[in-house]
Amino acid sequence: MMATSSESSLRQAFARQLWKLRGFRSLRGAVLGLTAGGLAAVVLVTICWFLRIRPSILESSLGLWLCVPAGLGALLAFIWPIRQRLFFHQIDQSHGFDDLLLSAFELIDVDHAPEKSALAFREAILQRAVVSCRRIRFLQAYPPELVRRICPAVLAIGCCLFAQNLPARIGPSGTLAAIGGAELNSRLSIPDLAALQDPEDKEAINDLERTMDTLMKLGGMATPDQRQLEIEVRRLVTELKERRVTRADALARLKHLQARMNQESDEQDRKLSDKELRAAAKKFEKAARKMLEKHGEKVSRDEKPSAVFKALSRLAEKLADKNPDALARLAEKLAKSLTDKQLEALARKYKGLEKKLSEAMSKKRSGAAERRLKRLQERLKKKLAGLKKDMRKRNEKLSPGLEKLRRNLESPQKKADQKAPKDRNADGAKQQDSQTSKQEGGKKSEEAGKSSGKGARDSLRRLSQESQRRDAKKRVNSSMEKVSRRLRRSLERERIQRRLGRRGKGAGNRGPERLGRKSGSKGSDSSGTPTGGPKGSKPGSSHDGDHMGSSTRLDGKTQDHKLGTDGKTGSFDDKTRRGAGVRGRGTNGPVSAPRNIEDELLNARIPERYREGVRHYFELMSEPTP
Amino acid sequence: MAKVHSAVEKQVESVAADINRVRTEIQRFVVGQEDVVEGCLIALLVGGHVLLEGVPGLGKTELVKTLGQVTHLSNTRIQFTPDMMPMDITGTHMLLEGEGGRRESQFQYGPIFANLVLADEINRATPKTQSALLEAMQERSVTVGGESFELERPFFVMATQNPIEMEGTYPLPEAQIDRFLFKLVVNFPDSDDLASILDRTTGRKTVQLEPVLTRERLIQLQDLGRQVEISPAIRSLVVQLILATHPDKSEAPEMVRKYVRYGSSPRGGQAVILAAKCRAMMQSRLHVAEQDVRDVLFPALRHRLLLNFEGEAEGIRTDDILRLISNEARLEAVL
Repeated sequence: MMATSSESSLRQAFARQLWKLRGFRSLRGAVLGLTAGGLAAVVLVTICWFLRIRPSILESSLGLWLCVPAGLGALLAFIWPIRQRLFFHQIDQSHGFDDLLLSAFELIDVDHAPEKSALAFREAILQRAVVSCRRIRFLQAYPPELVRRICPAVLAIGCCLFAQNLPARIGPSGTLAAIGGAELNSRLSIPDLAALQDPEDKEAINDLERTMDTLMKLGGMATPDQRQLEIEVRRLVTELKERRVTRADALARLKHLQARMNQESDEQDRKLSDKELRAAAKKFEKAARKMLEKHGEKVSRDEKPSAVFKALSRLAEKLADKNPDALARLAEKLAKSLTDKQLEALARKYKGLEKKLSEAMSKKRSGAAERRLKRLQERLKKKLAGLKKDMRKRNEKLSPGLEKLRRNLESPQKKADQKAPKDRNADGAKQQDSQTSKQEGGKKSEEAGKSSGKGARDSLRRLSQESQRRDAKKRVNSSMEKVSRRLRRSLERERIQRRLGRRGKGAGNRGPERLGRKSGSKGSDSSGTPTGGPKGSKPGSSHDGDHMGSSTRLDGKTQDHKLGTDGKTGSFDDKTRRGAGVRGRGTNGPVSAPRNIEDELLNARIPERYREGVRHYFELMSEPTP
Repeated sequence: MAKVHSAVEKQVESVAADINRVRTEIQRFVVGQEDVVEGCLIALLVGGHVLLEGVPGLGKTELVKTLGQVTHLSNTRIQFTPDMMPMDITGTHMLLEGEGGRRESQFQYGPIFANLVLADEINRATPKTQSALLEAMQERSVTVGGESFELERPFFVMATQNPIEMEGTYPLPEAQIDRFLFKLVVNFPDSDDLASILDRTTGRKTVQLEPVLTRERLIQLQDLGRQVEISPAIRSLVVQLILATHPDKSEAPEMVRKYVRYGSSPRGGQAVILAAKCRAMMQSRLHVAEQDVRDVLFPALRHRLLLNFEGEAEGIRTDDILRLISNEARLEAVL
């Protein structure tokens, strides 16, 4: 078939339009590729962020992620085959050509020759189509939709820029990791809240708070780390009180805090055992030995063990002038090596011993007094021996120098203790003669030692304070341990209750579920006689004729259980629980574990209106029946 | 758009002008009912027959009369009744006294012998009488007593039927109803149209209609309408639409499978394409557009779908099914 001029014109016009379409599609493909590249970058950045990897490929070149997909998209769009009929139909629709181009395209596309009569129509259609092709506006057929097209591209560029400056992800803090922060974050279900609402539980929490207060008063939390520790403990206490923390969480945090507290103490000990301290201790030991050798005779002659203290105090003061830090640390070390109570007891005993011996020596001795003195002496000996034994046990790891120092500190006193009564018994007259001179000497030495004794008292006070601090810390630790124990028990109880709940479902829930408290919910006594649920006119009271719901007969195979600690340390609640018939259910035979309804009720959120209803009901029930 | 002044272009533009004149003249008397008038004009150009359905008093008969007057065609009206016989329509041989007192048998032409036949309340006649129209409508000839009589072109039957008062009526059989090109539904006019109708019909002034289209011109337009081009894609769309009306075809949507017993015959497809061509010509176009097909789909196919019992019981209308089919069939799918 010969192509007419209209037909060839139309073919050219169509070809032009198809090239335009290819160009336009390339542009759209480029934008699409750009968007795809950006989205890929987003995905990669997100994955890298989660894996905590810095995506070096994204950092390397921005163009890689933008130009390559854009170019690829443009190329693909260009070479992608065009559905020409669809294209002309879309042009027709967008320009209101009423399928003129489609019809014209199909007319020139068909192979068969048209009838002669139809030629005129055909030619006219082609001419119309050629004219219409000049009116085609691509933007009319494919609106640019700037916002829709540009937004993804902007997003893509933004993602690539973000990837370039991707910040390193900050890992979870040590605290969060220690308390299982990741686990907490991943948990999606609503956590069960700590149910420490028993009076004993509350007491444990309050005790922890009190001990923390005491520790703070004593200045036990001086460093920033300790201060942080204190803040965390207080926060935990508040959350426990307000029931804003789960049992598991509270347990983990307590464990962590305890570990940190112990770690602090270990670090302090470690700091004290440095070389400088050891050198100071040696120096002190050496000086003390010299002093003891020098004053040994005087001590034995004067029979005043306080002289040793005074001499030691003077020595300490001298040392304090030369190396005050070392002395302070030595004092701390001493305070640590001796338990606080022992130190206090030792100090008291020294003082008491000194006082009593001086009194005994100053007064005229009678038989009874002598006997009393002997008894006192024996008692002191025993106590000192016990003390020494304890100290030895405790300070096995102490340096030999410090051990010697303690021995030196104890031996003159012991000698004096043993010698004083003997001397007093052997030559009393001699003693009386020399009493005035001794007293004068004593007074002189006491006056001279007043100033030097101040230093010793200070160091003793310091030691005492330190011991109190340590004691407070221990109490805090034990309080924390107590709270932990209660939390553990609470968890254990809940687990048992859950297990029982599951079992109860299988067995069937017969009998009424009661709202009473404690004794109000028992279905039978231990003898198996069904009592028909809680009794009494008020919740919690029992043993009157009020029955709620029908009871189930029991066969008497009941068993009482005691809630133990299952081999765990610490005290346990030794409440006696009823076996069968707990909760008023028709459980024939013994149950394996008790259910604590009190806990359930305390944990349950009972609507206020329901509470009022129950209260009103029991008020009505309590009225005397006519 | 730059005008391309070819002979064909001029012809088509003149067709549009003529049809517009006819339309305007009809609307001088018939108020509203634009779709019905448009359908009647398309059917007139195609040379098909129209079944008008509507309650009494909506101006169906007046529309046909007006069309006859405007187109300057001979028109007759047959009021169908149950006791009507086929000869009452077709005519019969009668013994007549001729010249010289000689008696001879002479064919007396029935009302069917006209260009425009109004078969009023066609469903009131018996099937025997209804079938008398069959040959005339399809073959455009009448055979009486072994003698065939050709009907004059254009032959255009416009039948009316009342959808209510179905007692004592004889619904048209499928074979007969398929012979109608269009089934047009005459709806009740809206308030403005109703006011206008009352105003025009109750006053002293009467509308004098003028014939604007001659018989010869109408035949010319009918010939021209068939030359309008339809692209293979549009034809495929029509095929897709016709197949979609058949419940046993894969193209049929779920609703058709559920409620339709029989779909459209190929005559339905012919009707759609011919009507679409004429509609395109009426709009000065030389080719059929997708919209032409979709516009003529409802009048051309609504009487060709036969609902099953479930469809009848649930009160499904064929227009609903056709709307679904039209929405689901996309031209893009066949491109």
